[in-house]
Amino acid sequence: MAREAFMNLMLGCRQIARNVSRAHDADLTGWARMATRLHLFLCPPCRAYARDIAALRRRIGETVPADPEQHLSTDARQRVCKAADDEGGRSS
Amino acid sequence: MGDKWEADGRRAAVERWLGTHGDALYRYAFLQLRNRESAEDAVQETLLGALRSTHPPDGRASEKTWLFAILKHKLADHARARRRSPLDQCVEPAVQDGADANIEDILFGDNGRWREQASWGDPVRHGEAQAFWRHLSACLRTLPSNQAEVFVLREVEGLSLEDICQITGVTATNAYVLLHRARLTLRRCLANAGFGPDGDS
Repeated sequence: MAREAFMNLMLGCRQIARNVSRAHDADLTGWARMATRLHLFLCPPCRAYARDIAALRRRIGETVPADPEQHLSTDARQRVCKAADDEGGRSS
Repeated sequence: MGDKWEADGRRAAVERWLGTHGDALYRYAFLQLRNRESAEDAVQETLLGALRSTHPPDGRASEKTWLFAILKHKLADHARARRRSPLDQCVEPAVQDGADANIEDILFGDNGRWREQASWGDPVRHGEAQAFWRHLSACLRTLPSNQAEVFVLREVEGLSLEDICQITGVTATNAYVLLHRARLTLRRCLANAGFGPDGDS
């Protein structure tokens, strides 16, 4: 199959997945960027990976601010301030 | 000098740190200690330690990375005290390969193609925020500690690679590898936990 043959000429999915991940953290340049785009166009499993890790990032971004358990409590904040005052030798 | 934080400056500095970095420091501590009170204590020790510091951040190191570095030391002390393996062993990924049996070898065949499909499908329609977070936390605990650490700093706290390298001591190249392996494992773990099309039925 022509598509299979072409895919084999390109970087394998293992390397493409690395590039897809890396693109989240740094810019891909030159050949890596081009090969990754072309591969993604032709390869549904790699497209799924790219979609999923983008969704993971988005989901985390939505979840963390909405969940009170992910925040330092008001009580804890007050304790820290008081400890800082106490340690500084101040009564108030 | 310590004089930097004298008098009213102490309180103002602590309030500012709490306001800007309190949540991030707490989440990072909680990930490693898995206990709310201990994580809160760690944040307190960190900020008091910062007040005592004779080396406040200069222009180069951001305040955030400075505070994270102090917290990291506190957590390492805590781990030593509990005679557990500290989570700051951010060594070369190869050293910890055994821990995740190289996720790439599991997911990719010798021909470099995907061996299995573990796609999420459409993750947005799955579950409430807290359910998602609970699953994600459980999956994070299955990761080697250095992968979880780098992943959380990057994806939860949104730190730059440069800051992450400064805090964890890993090189940028290693950080890319750790992040990629963490993403591969988390995606698979979340799919297994029901965040994929198969487990959704």
